[in-house]
Amino acid sequence: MANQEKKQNFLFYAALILLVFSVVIFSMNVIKVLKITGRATGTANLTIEGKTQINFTIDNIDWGSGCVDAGKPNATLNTAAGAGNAVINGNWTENTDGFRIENIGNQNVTLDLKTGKNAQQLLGGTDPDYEYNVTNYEANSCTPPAGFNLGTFYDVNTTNPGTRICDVFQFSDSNDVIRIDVKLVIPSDSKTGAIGDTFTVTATTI
Amino acid sequence: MEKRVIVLLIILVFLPLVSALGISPAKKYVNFKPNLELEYSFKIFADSKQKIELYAAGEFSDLVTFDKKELVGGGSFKVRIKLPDKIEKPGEHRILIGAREKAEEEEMLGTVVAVQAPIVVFVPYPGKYAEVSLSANNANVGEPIKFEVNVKSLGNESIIATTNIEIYNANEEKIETLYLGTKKIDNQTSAVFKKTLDTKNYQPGNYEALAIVDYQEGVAKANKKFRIGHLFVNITNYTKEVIKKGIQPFEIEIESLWNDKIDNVYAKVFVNKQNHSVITFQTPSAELNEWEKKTLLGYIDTDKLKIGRYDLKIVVHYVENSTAIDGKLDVVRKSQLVFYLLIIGIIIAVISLGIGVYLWRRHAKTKKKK
Repeated sequence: MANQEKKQNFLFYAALILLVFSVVIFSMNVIKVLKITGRATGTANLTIEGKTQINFTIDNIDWGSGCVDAGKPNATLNTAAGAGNAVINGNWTENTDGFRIENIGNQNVTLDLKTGKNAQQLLGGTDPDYEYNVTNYEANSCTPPAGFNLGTFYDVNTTNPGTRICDVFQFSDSNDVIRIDVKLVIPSDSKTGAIGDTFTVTATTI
Repeated sequence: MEKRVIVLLIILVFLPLVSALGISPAKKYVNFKPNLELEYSFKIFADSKQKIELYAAGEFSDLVTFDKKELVGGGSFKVRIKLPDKIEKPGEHRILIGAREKAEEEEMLGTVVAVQAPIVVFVPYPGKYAEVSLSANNANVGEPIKFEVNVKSLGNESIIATTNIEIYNANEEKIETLYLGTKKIDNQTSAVFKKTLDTKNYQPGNYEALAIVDYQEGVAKANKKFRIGHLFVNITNYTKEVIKKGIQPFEIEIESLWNDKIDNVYAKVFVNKQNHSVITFQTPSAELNEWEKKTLLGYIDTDKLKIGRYDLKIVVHYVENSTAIDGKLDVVRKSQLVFYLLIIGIIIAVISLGIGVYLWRRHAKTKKKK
């Protein structure tokens, strides 16, 4: 009986302590809430940072391996030419997608394009060609500078900071994607084996 | 002839070295002060394994120091810049803070993205100097047009700016001048002048506002075109010729001269011959946004028409108004020119064949005689 009474007392005091503790916590919360709701006016500060960000949504042109047809002076690989014409006088795998770049930031930017090598450095041989062509994948995405035309092939540029291809590359959702096509004219006496180069696109906040 | 098979193996692969790269903040502005020390934090957004190299470019790039030279998978970095004690050329100077993905695959053709955030250092013009911009909204007749003139004092002395706006109509005739007030503007700060134009006495049409800010040592100007609209839909063009072959499309180009959306715009087309109605048809209705140009498309049954010219009446209905024009419609035979060319082609082919057969027979006879 005595043990049972001790247990009951213990439970009683434990419950009392818990009750007091709960009341204290409850009171603190009530004070906090009152403090918050007691403010009739306030200022909400929100800063949205500008972000310049671009994305190569198609960053892979894979022609595989191949060779210039026997007896032909050169082969042409052109991602803008469409199926059936994307590889002429060669047996590389056709690619008709080109590169695709999207402005996924919240700023309009300029775009500059440069490569690490020119046609001779990349392909070698007699009269090689290494060109690119910029088009709007979504209407009005890119406003080119004077003297640079969309849809026209130009020789690659290896000098810094490259060629300005867009004076304005928009970020608005339905007008923020461009396409870059590549054309190579590979002479029959070109370099052989794996060749390499880097296509650098630089986006600068306007 | 020498036959040589040339086999050149070239592997051309553009490998994905980077997908996306971003930098924030995208831009910073600072007014030049001699020997000013600047410190900015930037955040780079990149894929988790991307190696990013940091660099400075543009003007004064040699004055930039980084707390890190590269990052892996994005992150933050700080730049410090100590501006020189003097910059001769007034105006904006851009220091570019850049982040570029590191290309590691040298055996392949790869793509690399670089992003650059400019730090724009503005050097005040000597003395008093101001630049001005003007904004104005379009409105309908009777609605107000709000003008805002933003005046920036960009010299190294404060200015007292007196601002007026002149309103010109489409014939470049001045309609009126609005006075917006005079304010003192400290150097490297700006002030906004506001004025509302009451358009109840204005005719609908195109106008131009010219803000003129006199700041004692000079005058700065900015202009802005605006339109005053009225509830009118103009018919600018329509189909004038159809080929006689079943159902044919009929287009009506329209343009809203109203500064609000107009719902339920449609056209009724009446095709008449000698004042007798031949066909009547209606286009589906469309919405026209403010000042929008659109094409209404209807269909005409040409089986009910004969070859020839018809009178047209096009009536465009909108709200409780309508716009009507009269015109002509020519119904023509399908590709008459092609038909005639085909006939000529067949005649030429028959004559050529006849000559060919004659010559062949003559040649055969001559051979037999021999």
